[in-house]
Amino acid sequence: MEYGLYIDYEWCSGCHSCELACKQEHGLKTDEWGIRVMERLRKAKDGIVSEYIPIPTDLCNFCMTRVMEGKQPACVHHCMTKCMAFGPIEEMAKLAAKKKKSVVWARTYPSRSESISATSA
Amino acid sequence: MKKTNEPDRRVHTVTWSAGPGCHGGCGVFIDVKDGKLVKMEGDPDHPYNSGRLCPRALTIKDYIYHPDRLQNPLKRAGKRGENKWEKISWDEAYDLIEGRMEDIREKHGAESMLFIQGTGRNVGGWLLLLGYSYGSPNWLQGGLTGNSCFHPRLVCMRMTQGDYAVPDCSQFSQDRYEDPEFVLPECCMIWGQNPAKTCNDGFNANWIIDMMKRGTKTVVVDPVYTWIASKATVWLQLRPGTDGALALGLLNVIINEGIYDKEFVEKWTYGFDKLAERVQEYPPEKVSQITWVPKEKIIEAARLFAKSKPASIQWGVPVDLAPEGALVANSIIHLWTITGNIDIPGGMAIARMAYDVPPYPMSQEAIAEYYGDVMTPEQMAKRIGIDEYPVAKEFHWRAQADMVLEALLTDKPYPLKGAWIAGNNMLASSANPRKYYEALNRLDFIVVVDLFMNPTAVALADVVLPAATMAERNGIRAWWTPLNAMESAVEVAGCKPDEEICFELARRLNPNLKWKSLEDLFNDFLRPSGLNYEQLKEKGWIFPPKGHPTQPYRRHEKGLLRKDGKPGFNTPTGKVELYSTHFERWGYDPLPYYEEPHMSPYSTPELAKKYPLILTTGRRSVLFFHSEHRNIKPLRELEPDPVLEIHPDTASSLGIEDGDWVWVENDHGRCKRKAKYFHGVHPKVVQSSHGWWLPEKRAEDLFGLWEVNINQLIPDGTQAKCGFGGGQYKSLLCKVYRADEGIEGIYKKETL
Repeated sequence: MEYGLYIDYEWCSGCHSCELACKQEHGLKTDEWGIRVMERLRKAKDGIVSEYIPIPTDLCNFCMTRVMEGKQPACVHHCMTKCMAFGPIEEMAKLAAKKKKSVVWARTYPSRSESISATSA
Repeated sequence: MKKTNEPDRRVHTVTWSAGPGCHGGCGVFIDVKDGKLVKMEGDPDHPYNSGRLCPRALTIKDYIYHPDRLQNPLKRAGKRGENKWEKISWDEAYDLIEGRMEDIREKHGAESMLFIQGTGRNVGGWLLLLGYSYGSPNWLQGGLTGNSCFHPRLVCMRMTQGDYAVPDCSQFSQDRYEDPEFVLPECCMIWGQNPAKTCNDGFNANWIIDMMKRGTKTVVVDPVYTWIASKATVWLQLRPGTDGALALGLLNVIINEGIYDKEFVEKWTYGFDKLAERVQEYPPEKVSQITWVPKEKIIEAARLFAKSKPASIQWGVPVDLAPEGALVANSIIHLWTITGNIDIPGGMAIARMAYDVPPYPMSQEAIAEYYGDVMTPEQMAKRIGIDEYPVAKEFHWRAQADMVLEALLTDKPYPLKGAWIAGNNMLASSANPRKYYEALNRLDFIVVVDLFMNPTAVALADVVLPAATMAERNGIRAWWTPLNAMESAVEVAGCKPDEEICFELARRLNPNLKWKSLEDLFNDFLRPSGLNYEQLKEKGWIFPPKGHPTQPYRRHEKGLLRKDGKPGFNTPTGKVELYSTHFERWGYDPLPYYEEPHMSPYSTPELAKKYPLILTTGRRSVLFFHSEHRNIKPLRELEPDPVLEIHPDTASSLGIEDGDWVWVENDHGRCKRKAKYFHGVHPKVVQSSHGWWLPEKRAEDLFGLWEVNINQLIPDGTQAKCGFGGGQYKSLLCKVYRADEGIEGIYKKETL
């Protein structure tokens, strides 16, 4: 099954909740991050402003256990501005197609039975 | 098949106090395994946060199980400041404190003991329980010049419109934005508040962003081009501290262009003509010169706000901190009043505690009802500051902080002997902290209740009591809405919640205390809701039904606001008072006017030659709550240094590179900061965060406090004439120059 993590970065406020939700969920060490909020400067109407965009790292497993339990990944669940979404890749791609400042990160999941045996091992 | 990492149980509660540290009430699930918190997750069904959580809540495990957490009552063994302590049991601590406090009460009167809290949260109510049970009326937010944290706005709302109000973001309904009665505001004015970084008391600022995403336009009033300002329809970049002039300028445009709500003004306001006359002194040209905001922008903002219906105003603490903060608050109340936005869907909802269940008694009547046996009218009359400030006497229930500082140093009106300081790292957070250090050090007996050792505890405490986080507390969270139960999920050995500590000592110090147990007290407070604590815990949270006097809307039309049941507002005239009959009675100017900051290029031009930059402090970080969280590694990792945000052009002209260590200095003091190039700040303004101390440094050196505490640049005694507002935290003068070296031993990031 292919899933996508959709990010509408017009509304990412740089709050860091995704980064810390991920750390809590996966028990990551201080210098380990499953997702990082990147900051860049851009010209806006009245001057130069920070714009943010979260990028999953290679430590991200798309919260497979949570997803298999029917939950949202920890970052999506806790995002303060609700600028993230998660679901089947076709749906996420459709969201992105309609939104200028957006991006979809995608991943293939094992089937449900495979993953349950994996997590209970 | 049970997975090995599965929790034993899941507890529902709400965040309030230590942990995230804020005034919020986010619904959470706490997963517990083997008696320890393994995870805290946002409750998607809770209307306050709908699942989301901030970084401070998401790192609560690091906070609860931090190796430096205080887990024993401590009795001072060396001199104050030497950081030598003897571990004692809770029973020994209670006996010692009871003995000392009894002694003070007997020899000097209960009023000579201060009960000092920091900002809001569920420390205040319990401190009040203890202070009033003991018989002292001197409960306060210590160090806070002009009581300038929400209180100027609170007392002004009560004086002017009889009730508190908050922007209606559908938070009074479980269905939130889907509630058919709710109307999305066409415009929200965001005044000195950064919803992307920080929330207000009982108000989740993300609601503002929710509404923006749904189409609400915004006017953002902020000296800094923040992320939220970049999303604004109109951004007003004012000179720090000139909020009062801007508000009067906006009123000028709205009144002179006739774009106010004439029907509402006619029917429900008092003194409109006098206000209309006063604002003639503030035409947009003049206001533009004062505030540095272009005239066209002032007019554009005024028109957008006034022509939008409904519209609301989301305000922050800079309103209180502006010179004559109470008058700035009143001007802003007038803005939402004359545009007819009070208690309408999507406007400024009159906010009451759900079911009128008090977080703690907050009026003279309630205090008499709950604590009348020890807190007699004679004793209440000893509250410091009420002789100087009638606003404090009639509309407030705490001691006035500036007058307390005077009393500490002069022994007038009477000598002070002791202080209970709970959740207030005063040496890091008060204005003129060195003066507070000297003043508090004159006291014979100081108890500090906190979760970690901090500069204030090391420097001043005789006894330190280890407090508990929100995850370790039973209680009720009643602040606006909904009404929540808090349920303890875990215990940390040796730590106790303020609820228990204060109750135990209140019981010892007042044998007639009307409650026999904490649960007895919770049940008594919960009476108006028709539920007891166990029943509320079962439900988690509740809203009063629609039509209840503590639920919106249009209650002034229905006679639901006044005690006499008549339509109108709970003010002497029954109307919203644009001309304040209270201020008139006390001999103050009944109308708002503008006052220049105490230090500014215009009020002190000579000083401005020496200190050419305007310094605004208190820039919020989503990672830290005031002086807390510098020791929580995952948070500190994201903001390791105290920074000064400076425009690149200004910095270059001073030979300062991005990332250089600098001194920020004025006549009152100096501190170190790491310069950060930032385009969003005006070239003549620099901005910095506050509350810094360095937990990684030696306790005996007060954790490097004097090297990094920016409040050393802030004078005390700059409170407003009525005692509410002012404080100069946001509009100082300074100079900035390169430091020869950085800060030895400061936290080093681990992430590459």
